[in-house]
Amino acid sequence: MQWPGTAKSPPAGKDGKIRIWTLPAGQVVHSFELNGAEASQVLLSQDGRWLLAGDSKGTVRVWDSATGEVRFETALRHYFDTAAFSPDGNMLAVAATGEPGTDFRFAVEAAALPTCV
Amino acid sequence: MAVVFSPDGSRIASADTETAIRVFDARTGKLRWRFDEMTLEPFTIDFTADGKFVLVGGPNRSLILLDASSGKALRLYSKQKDVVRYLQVSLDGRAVAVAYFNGNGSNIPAPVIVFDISSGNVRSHWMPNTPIIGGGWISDGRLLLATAAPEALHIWSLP
Repeated sequence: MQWPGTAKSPPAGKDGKIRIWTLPAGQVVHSFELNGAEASQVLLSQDGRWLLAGDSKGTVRVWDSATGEVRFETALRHYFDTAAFSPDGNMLAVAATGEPGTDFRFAVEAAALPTCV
Repeated sequence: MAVVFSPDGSRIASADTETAIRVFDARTGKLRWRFDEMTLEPFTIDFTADGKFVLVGGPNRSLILLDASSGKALRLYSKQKDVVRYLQVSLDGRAVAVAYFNGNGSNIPAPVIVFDISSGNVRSHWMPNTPIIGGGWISDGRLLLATAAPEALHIWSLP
């Protein structure tokens, strides 16, 4: 599914956690902490291996969805806006925006993700 | 604002707050081209399945096909009265599904239109009773769409 309900729908619970459930049993497999921030986007890679959350403090984290380990983390100097995984799950593109009226408007940064271990 | 990788992962396309469409080399970060003819901030962008074209849409209500190697505009699809909110190229690369947004309010339904990419013809036009909240192409070639009313979530399929 590619179309989110709204561009900024916060998918994390009000307790600042993102959870992964098994289907159809509905058992929680992992719970990911956002350290008090609110997720502005949650994204799974196409193969389901990576779970990304960009939060309201400009932090972008990528977890291994199977183990629950943080495998990539970056603190943006500006606001997190949106992100995409490459089809093979080896790269990540993150888009950041600035405050309206400031010089900084937009940037895309790309990063390589850890290869399979 | 939106960002997407090309199907082979070699390029990144962005639709940004400066109303520009940019395509970067994913490995080097080098800007390959920039398209500046959108008058308002585009919302949604996708590559075609063969990576040769980029489709982009936004609040100026138009859907544009760009050459992914040069950034040249090749086609303008029939303009609608609503904003282009989300688009997604079908898995076979022949069609693009476009979900529109009614600018007068998020609770007002707007259509979903499937265009044939090469001819520009409308394959399907569907107006839901309640706004679209999500959806996408699935592996058997159908388009699944979700609408939400206060009392129910409905899943629809377009052939």
